[in-house]
Amino acid sequence: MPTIKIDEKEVTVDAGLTLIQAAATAGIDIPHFCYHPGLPIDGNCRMCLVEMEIRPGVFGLVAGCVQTVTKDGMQIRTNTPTVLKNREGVMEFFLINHPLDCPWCDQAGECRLQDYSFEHGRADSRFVETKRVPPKKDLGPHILLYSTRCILCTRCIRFCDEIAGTSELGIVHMGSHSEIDTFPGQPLDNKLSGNVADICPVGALVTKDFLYKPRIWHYTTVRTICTGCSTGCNTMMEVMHQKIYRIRPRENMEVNQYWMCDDGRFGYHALQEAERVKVPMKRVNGTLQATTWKEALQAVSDGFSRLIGETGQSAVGVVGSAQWTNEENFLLSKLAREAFKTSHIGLYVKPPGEGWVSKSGFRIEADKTPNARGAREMLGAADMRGIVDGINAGTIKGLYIVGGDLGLVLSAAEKEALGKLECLVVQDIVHSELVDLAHVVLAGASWAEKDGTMTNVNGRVQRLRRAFPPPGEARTDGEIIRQVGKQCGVDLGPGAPAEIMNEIARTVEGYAGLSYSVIGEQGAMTGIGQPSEAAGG
Amino acid sequence: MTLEFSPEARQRAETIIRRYPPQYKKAAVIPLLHLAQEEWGYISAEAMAYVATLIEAPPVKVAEVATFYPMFNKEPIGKYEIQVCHTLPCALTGCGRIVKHLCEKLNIQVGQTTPDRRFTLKKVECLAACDRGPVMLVNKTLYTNLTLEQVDDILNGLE
Amino acid sequence: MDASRCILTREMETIPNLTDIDIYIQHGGYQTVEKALKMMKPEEVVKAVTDSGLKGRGGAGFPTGRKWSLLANRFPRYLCCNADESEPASFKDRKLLEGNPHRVIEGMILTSYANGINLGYIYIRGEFFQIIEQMDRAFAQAYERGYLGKNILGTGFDLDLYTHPGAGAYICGEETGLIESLEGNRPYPRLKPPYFPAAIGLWQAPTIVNNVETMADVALVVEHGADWFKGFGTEDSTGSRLFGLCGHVKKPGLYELESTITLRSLIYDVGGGVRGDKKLKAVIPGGISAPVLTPDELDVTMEFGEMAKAGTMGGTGGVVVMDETVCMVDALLNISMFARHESCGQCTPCREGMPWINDMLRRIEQGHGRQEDIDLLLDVCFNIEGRTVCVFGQAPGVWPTRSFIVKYLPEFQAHIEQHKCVVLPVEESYLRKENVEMLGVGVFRAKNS
Ligand SMILES: Cc1cc2nc3c(=O)[nH]c(=O)nc-3n(C[C@H](O)[C@H](O)[C@H](O)COP(=O)(O)O)c2cc1C
Ligand code: SF4
Ligand code: SF4
Ligand code: FES
Repeated sequence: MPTIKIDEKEVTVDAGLTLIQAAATAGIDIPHFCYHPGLPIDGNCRMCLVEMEIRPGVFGLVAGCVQTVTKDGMQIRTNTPTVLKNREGVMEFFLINHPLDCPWCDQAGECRLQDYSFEHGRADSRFVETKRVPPKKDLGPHILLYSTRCILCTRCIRFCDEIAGTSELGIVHMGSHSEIDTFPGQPLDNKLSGNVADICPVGALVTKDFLYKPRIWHYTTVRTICTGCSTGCNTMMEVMHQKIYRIRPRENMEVNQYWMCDDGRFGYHALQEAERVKVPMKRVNGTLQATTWKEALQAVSDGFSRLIGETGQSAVGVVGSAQWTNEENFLLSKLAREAFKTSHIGLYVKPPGEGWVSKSGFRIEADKTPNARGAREMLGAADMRGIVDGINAGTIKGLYIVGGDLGLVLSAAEKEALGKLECLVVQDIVHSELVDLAHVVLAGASWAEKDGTMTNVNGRVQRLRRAFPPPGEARTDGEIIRQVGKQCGVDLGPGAPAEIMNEIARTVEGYAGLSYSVIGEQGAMTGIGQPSEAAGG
Repeated sequence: MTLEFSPEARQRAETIIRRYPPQYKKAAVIPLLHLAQEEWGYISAEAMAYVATLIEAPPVKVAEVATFYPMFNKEPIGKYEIQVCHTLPCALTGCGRIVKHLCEKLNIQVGQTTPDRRFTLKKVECLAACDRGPVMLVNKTLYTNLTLEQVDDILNGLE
Repeated sequence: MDASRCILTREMETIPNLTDIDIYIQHGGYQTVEKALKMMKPEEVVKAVTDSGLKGRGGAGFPTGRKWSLLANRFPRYLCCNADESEPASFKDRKLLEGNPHRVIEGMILTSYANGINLGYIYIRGEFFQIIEQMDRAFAQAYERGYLGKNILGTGFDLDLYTHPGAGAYICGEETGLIESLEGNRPYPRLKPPYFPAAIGLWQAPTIVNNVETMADVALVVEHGADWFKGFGTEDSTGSRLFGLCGHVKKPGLYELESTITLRSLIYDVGGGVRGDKKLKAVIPGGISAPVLTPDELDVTMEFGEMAKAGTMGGTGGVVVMDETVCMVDALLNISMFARHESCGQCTPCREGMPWINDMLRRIEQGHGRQEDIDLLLDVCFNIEGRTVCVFGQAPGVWPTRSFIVKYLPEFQAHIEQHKCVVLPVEESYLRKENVEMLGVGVFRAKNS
């Protein structure tokens, strides 16, 4: 690995890194607009020019996004008067035709032009000519283009060409008349379209979803994952007053790189618009009525106590959820074994949706649940066929089933079977088909309302983080499970998700070695540690 | 409306496309746009979409090219396209007078088409005939060493 | 002029219908191709061209043999002959292609043979309608006679050559813009490094881009040998050059000469002097991109090296003469309009800077200039030069602007001070040589005196 000198710092980096990347390892930021680590290099903005020794003692300007580290002893200077003057010049070129409409631009606060002009710009304006005013354009179902703010960095085009592979965007016209555009009748409409708004370094591309919303500095950012499919894209969720305003991808090279799909990005509306179960309910004379937690929990233990056999001949079944975290499913299986004394454990499996792979290999999984793999591994069950058979055979008379899925659908056979139960306890977040059949309903929490981990399709265990508490009297699901256990006279152990994960690591095959600190921000693969007690025992 | 080349143009298109390695059909875009312009007089969005099918490229990539080049008309033009060079050497030899004369005679501004759709007047950059300025192109014919009288003669000579 | 020393143009000036391959062959045409393919190794062709000292005629004056020797050792390789000729004041390639297309084809065949190329294009600007048709015919004839196609003259060498039309954009003359254009993309010049055509060119393959005149010279070198070629011109600029005279000169036209001629002699002896015997005010010596020269600076030879020493460039050899009636602000405004129109728009400084410069100049020309505009113009030039993706930003972008403003400062200042267009008498319109500091080609500063 070559050792090179950037300003006064020596760094040893991989050959082939761009100077922007190499400088970053030394903690030096080379400002740039068109460079994006996830896209092919274009080198058009000219902001990233730095000085490099081209002959002994002679320095010349090179583009930090193009020039790579090639050999030992390279000398780079990022803060000479020449370099600074170029940045000032480029900033000025960008701003002469810019509308300077920052007060009502949705990018304010996360705009590179704004950030850099503070550091690198000039205070005065030397431009007294007439500004260009290219039109605002509706590019597609999700995206608007404010052409006046566009700096023609082509990130959006490169994204559609090389990542999505859909090539809806192009530059039309020539020279200073250049504009980003779509072809008539072929709008920017692909499964990844929202990403162009994220990568636009200025406020030119915006999602219609995030138009005229409160300024970004008013939000709390929650670093979590998307639950739209089993890919588990890493995300940042902007939240204020118990409401989600925006979800954007968070870099994770092992999972989603810098991207996420539109279904995941805009999926939060479905949650916010859903009619939530906010209180526990109990069926009285055939209709569900709101009740207190105390009564609801009592109803669960009353309904099940007769069916729980002391010897393991329990007539109670438990069905977990691929919408639930590992910790919750783990607690549920513990509840089944320790409180309900049963081995009838199942997992509700949602019929698959459509999968899709982009040109760059970004995968949207057909499995539209976030934690099917984790749930399977926690519960030791892959589906609920055994449960349905048990009900039909009369061995299972009571069922504790958890939902958590906004789009839950039951098959006719499942519905018919559930209808035969003497006691059906449903823990859910919306008025699902399950709730319609329930004798007792426990109000649970959605993905935005709880902490825990989920295991994606490839076995990567990642953190889901709570943005706000569940609505009304609803409770987080792990907490409910522990209370049900208590009601049945069993202590299910610690309730904090991190502690549950420690227990999972000790007992579930493949999870050895995992803990919240190992999982961190970027997740960790299962199967990394020594064989667990369960496997080794 | 979907456009398609006439059989003869279609054949020429195939000859053009064969000039490039089969995996690089996109290279044919400029010659095919010229052909399209000969066929239909200008390059409409439909024409771009059609050319896109011939070279197996997304239509917006054809639009990127078609809108870049000044020779491709994005709108219908007159029967005679008059293009006067206005770059420095021709400016020094008096192209300004020629342009003014044409504007008056045709009663249009530069960039416009006469109402009878016979003439479209444009200024172009250097046509590489600087020793014979002022010069103008009328469709594909180059006229050089222009005087006002010659311009009149040329216009009168066009049916 | 000694006609016997017009090695490029004599035949086409004297032999009728030379564009017809039969006539061309009757006069010895394609014998060089036959000789080279049958009797020379490719390396020998390269060596002859290297030894000849031939420098590219496309504007940059880069040694052709050197360019070829830099080709990456990968195949396939491609040839692009640059016939985009759009540099204002240049019309040499047009004349060569009109008069002697087969000479250029011979050069292309020899270049391909020398460099292991089996496919090439000649990129011809779209407005050359008749030239494109004639070139297509010439290629067809060459195929018929077996000089192109498979197994040429039974030597086992295959070569396909085709025309490729442009569509009116100057930037397609820049070699990597040409390649992008040929590939069917917007003709945005590529970043160099890494995209030197010789390393990563057309379709990512090693590619030679050479000018039309260069190709014709290659044919001459191979026909007569490097020493013969070096017998023309000077050590710095071997062979003959095609100079184009235009503007306010009595006898505009294309002249084949050796670079030993001075600019003064070219204008007065060859061109007959300034039209109407007016006073000469300014000369652009090598295509509009070249920095302007004042009446004090005419005693320079047309050699590439001498031109560079004078702070300008030999470029394409297109000479624009301006007489005393010319307003220098107006003339520069015209050039900057060209730069504004032809900037491809890819990179920030050029896309934004060219219109800005043009707007400022228009304001000054119309009498609305401000004192600070001169410094501002020069600073904008500074912020463009050397910061763009391609050389366009510099020439024709910055160089004309800076050279006009600095050298003809009095005339620009008069516009600003008097708030109107002012054409000063020649003697008063420009700074004397000793008052202009030259820091490099195209880089000037007025000395504070
Ligand atoms: C803006 C710009 C325009 C150019 N236009 C032309 C042109 O029209 N014709 C040409 O032969 N070279 C042109 N060149 C030079 C080419 O980039 C290239 O250097 C040349 O074709 C190489 O040929 P040569 O080595 O034979 O000179 C241009 C360069 C620049 C920067
Ligand atoms: S819209 Fe944004 S991302 Fe696209 S080119 Fe303009 S500034 Fe760049
Ligand atoms: S310098 Fe001008 S012409 Fe060259 S790439 Fe940049 S914008 Fe295009
Ligand atoms: S400037 Fe007009 S043809 Fe060259």
